Amino acid sequence: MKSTRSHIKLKELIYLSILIALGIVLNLIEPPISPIPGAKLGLANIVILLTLLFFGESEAIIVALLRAILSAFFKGMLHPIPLFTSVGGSIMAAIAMILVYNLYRKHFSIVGISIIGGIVNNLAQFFIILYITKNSALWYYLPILLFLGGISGWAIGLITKILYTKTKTVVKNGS
Amino acid sequence: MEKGDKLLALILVIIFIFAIGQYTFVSISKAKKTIVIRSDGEIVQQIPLNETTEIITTIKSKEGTITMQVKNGKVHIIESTCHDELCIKQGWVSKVGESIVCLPNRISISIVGEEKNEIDSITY
Repeated sequence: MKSTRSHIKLKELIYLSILIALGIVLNLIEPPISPIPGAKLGLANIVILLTLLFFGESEAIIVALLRAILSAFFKGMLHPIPLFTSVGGSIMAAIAMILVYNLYRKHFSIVGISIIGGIVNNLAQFFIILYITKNSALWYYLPILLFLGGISGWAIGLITKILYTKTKTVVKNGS
Repeated sequence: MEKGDKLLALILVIIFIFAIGQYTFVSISKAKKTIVIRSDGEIVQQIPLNETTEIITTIKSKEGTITMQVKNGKVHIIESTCHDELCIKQGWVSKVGESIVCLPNRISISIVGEEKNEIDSITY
């Protein structure tokens, strides 16, 4: 019995590692969206959403955290302020998606959960930047940030939904 | 599509209309423009912006420095000590409400209009 359990643990660990690695790669290769510098689609959210669907809350948080920190390592950007902004956005999005998934699963599809994640990610980053710069003029960018967050969340939700249906049997049966 | 998804789609449409309205309103406004420069969260410099303003200035913060150029009623960053240089990549800004933020250096440059925006910046 014991060996079977550790076998499952190991398998989960391998899947989580693959998911984190995928998240880092997706983050590195995705192109920036033009109007706002630094704005991205947030493809790494696919991985966080998949982790949540396959494994659970704590795993999703761990993947979100490690993905954000390791991405910064690979980009060579370890300045504390941008790191805090990206980790903060990622974690807040993960928490929001977990809450919605656990509490209102009946009312939202994967796409809906992803839209919320996208919006919360941008909202969190916006408030961190607002706090750091203390620049009230930045409110000007809030509507477009929320909109872009929602739209990219939508796209990401659709991709995740396809990936989830295609890989569901493989991951759950573990063959 | 679940009930909640439809609600989200509706919210996104509302945000979109709001955003379009806001940016159209800003682009037609003819308010006098001022460049407000903040370093480490505090206003360090304010420069009136018009077609004839021509300045190259260096802004310092505890974290680093950036060099800003003002020309033909537009502002851009030409040099920065930060690593990602997103502020340089952003290029020119000229409309009221637009900002350039250099996050690693904690420097932000915003174009604000007369009066109304001034009051806003005090209340927040």
